[in-house]
Parts: sequence; structure tokens; C-alpha cells
Amino acid sequence: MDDSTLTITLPDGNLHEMYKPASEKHVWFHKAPIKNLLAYGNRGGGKSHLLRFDAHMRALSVPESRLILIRKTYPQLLQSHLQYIPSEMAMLKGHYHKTEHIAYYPNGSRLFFSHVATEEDSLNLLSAEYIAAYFDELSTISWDFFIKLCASVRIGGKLKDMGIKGVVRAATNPLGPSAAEVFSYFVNKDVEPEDDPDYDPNDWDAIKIQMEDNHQHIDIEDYRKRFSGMPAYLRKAWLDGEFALENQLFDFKPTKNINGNIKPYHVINELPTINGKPIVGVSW
Amino acid sequence: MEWFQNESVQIYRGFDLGFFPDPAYCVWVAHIGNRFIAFKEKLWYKSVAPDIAKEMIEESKGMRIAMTYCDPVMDIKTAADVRSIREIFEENGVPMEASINNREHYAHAVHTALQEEAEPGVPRLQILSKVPGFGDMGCPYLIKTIPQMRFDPKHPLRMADSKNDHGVIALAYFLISSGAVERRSTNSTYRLPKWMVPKEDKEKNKFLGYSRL
Repeated sequence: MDDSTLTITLPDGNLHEMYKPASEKHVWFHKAPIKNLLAYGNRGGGKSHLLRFDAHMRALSVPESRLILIRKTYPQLLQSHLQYIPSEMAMLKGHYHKTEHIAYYPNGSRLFFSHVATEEDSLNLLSAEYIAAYFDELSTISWDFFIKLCASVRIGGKLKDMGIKGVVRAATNPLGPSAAEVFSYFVNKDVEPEDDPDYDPNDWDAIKIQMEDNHQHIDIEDYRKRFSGMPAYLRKAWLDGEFALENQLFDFKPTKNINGNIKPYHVINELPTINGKPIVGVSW
Repeated sequence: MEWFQNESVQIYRGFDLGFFPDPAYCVWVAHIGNRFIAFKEKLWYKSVAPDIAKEMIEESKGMRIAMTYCDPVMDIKTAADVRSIREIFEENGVPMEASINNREHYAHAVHTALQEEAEPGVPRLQILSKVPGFGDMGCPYLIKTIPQMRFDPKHPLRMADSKNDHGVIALAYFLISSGAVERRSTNSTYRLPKWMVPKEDKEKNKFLGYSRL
């Protein structure tokens, strides 16, 4: 875990551990070389924190690099990452420009903060070039915007010669308008060639980071109690970290627990038989 | 390759028309007793009606298709052609019955079929997953897209629009039809009433689609 820890030197000369990954899963996230990686799970897993510090460490490792951190709306950014960025940048001996929404690092790297609530917002970002794009609460962002913005992650010039690879990193609770696509691309990897001919499952991966993995930072038992009385789909997403669709219409259960046995329910693997013969079949 | 079916099973098809990027979609449903089993599906992209009809016949070889229920839009005559799309299918050997365009009905029909049980632990609607070794059996698209359907927050009884709703809609065309209402015992085969059997055929016991007395 040590080499994923961010340590800084304080003015008095003492070393200060500014960031330490909360678990082995967090370390794995920082080290994974895959192009597109998602951290998903219930609330309180420290995913946003993980994302921001991954950006800090990448920016400090690659001088003169450009990175971007995106949330759906600006107020969301203001209430989350931008609360911490000014003090973190000061500790890193850089600074944060409040009007430009850019964090400047001492090695010349820049971390842009942006939002993509509308098509216009996404078009504004298309011409830019970044070595890494970070999407916080990805399932709240329109999937079309996300796919378009991924095209802005490209490496050229001397960074390419250095062997730097462009990456997309995302974190999300498994709930929101894009939850189905996020699940399909990152977790299930069942994108059909008809839907996306260029999809390569080897370029996509996900890791589930739960509240329990962040035990250093929160009181889990106390936090769990706060979900009491919430609708089932919210509890499923926020407490269990399972993908859930808001406004889901059908209660579709591929399998069902019947008297302690998991049995096929709505999805069957073989056709029923009558007198030992399947109801329908193929003869060759 | 030819299909066989148990005599007490009725097979229906539900068809939703599309071209590109939305596909044309067909689902084959076996109706047995009061159970519905979606066991086969096919999607077509950028295909015209005569080609789809030809493939539907080929894919159903050996089955006794009771009826194909389709998008009612297919039965609208436009100035572009004297025939409707449904009539083009019919000319190419696929007779169809136009269903109803009502997203509240779709939601209700699919929801009911998923929730009701034919017997304890067996829902009325089941879907066959992709079967290894039988390239064309199973409905992976339908299984993938049913959980993606949402209700319209402004009209909670209505199924919201979705680019992936073709499988559910084709299935709903069947579920809201008269074909789905019929009930029959799984242990009995359909026999023609005595008065409908010609005298000369009684001894021959020739199979013409139904078992005869």
C-alpha cells in the first residue's frame, strides 16, 4: 500500500501523509493499467476521494499534463471536490484558480473541473486533450455525453514517446439514468456488436468498493441507520451497492430463492417437458 | 433443421417493426396451459419486409404458428404504396394481426404475466436463456432489456419510451392479444368436433395439423 500513499514535506521539514488508500481495493484502483476503470458501490466507500487523489497523483507523476474531473452539474462540484481542492493544492505547493476552475500543480500539470449537464457543456469539452478524464457519479451523466468526452482522452507528442497511456476513471453509486449502460460496459461487459462494434471488453473493468472498505473514515453502523425508510431501489443502490434503475417498471427475477434453494424463475435454462419430451425442439 | 412441437402447445409470434438504428424484432412464444414461454427471438437491422418475412418462415420451419401479432402502424396505408407493410408480409407468407399501440397496456400485460404464477414457484411468463449448441434458441436481447424498462414518472402506469423496448413491445403484442387469453389443459390435445370431421377422413386418421377423432 505504501507506494500509493501521497506524502508531502511540511514547512517545518516533517513528512506528512496527505493521502493513504483506505483498502487494498483502493490501491488496486490506483495501479490498474486498464484504459477505462470504474469504482462502484454503496455510499460511503470513499470513491470520490479516491478519484480526486488518483488525479492528484497522476498529475504529479506526469509533468505538464492536462487532466479533467467531471460531475454532472457545477453545484455538485462545488459541494464536493471544490470544497477540498484549495487546501489540497496549497499543501501540494500548487494553487487553485476559482474563476477558471483549474488546479495548477508545481510541475506544470493542470487539473480542470467541469460539468456536463447539457449537450452544449459536452461540446465545449470536445476539442480539448487530456491524459486522464475522471467522471464522478458517472451514472448520473448522460451516457452519450460520456462516450463523446472519452474521445478527448488522447496522448500525443512527447507524452506518447514517454509511454504514457490515456485513461478514463470513473466512480459511481449504481443508480441513475445511465446505470444500465454503465453496468453493461464496465461490469457485465455484455455490449452487443450491433450496439457498439468497437467495444473491446478487455479495455473496460470495474471494482466494487463498499462502505465496509472505507472503515478508516466512517462509522459504518451509524451510517447504515440513516437509510431506514428509504424506497427499495434506493436502499439497493446506496446500501447494497447493487445496480438499480430508478423508476424500474418490472419486477424481473431471473432466479428466486424458494425454501432456501435458488431456482430459475423468470429466466429458464431449458424448456419444460410433457411426458419427457420438450414442448418445442429442433430435429436435425 | 426443422422444429417439432408438442401437440398441446400453441406457438405465437410477436413482431415489432424497425429498420436502423432500431431493429425489427420477432419473438416466438410457446403458449401451454396458462404459461407463456418465450423461447426464440430474432433481430434484423436494415432489412426490408420481404426479406424479413422470408427469414421468419425459414426460422419457423416445422412450427405450427397460430398467429403473428404486429405493430398496428404496419397496417396503415400511406400514399407511398397501395399495400401496407402488413400486407407485404402477408403476400410473402406471413399473415399478421395488428395489435394495439398503448404503452399502458404493454406495461400491464407484461407486469401481470411476470407476477402471476401458473403454479407455486412458476411464473406465467418465462424466458429461455441462450442455449449452447442450439444457435437460434433463447432470447438474450429480451432478458437483457426487460429490466431496463422504466415507467414514465408523469404517467406511472405507462411504459416510458426507450431505444431498447422492441423486445418487450413485441412480447406485449402477444400478451394483450386474444391468443394469450385462451387456456387449455397441458394433458389434452386439440381435437376437431365430431361434426367437423368428414366421414371419409374418420378412418384415415390423417394428421392435418390437428389430431382427429
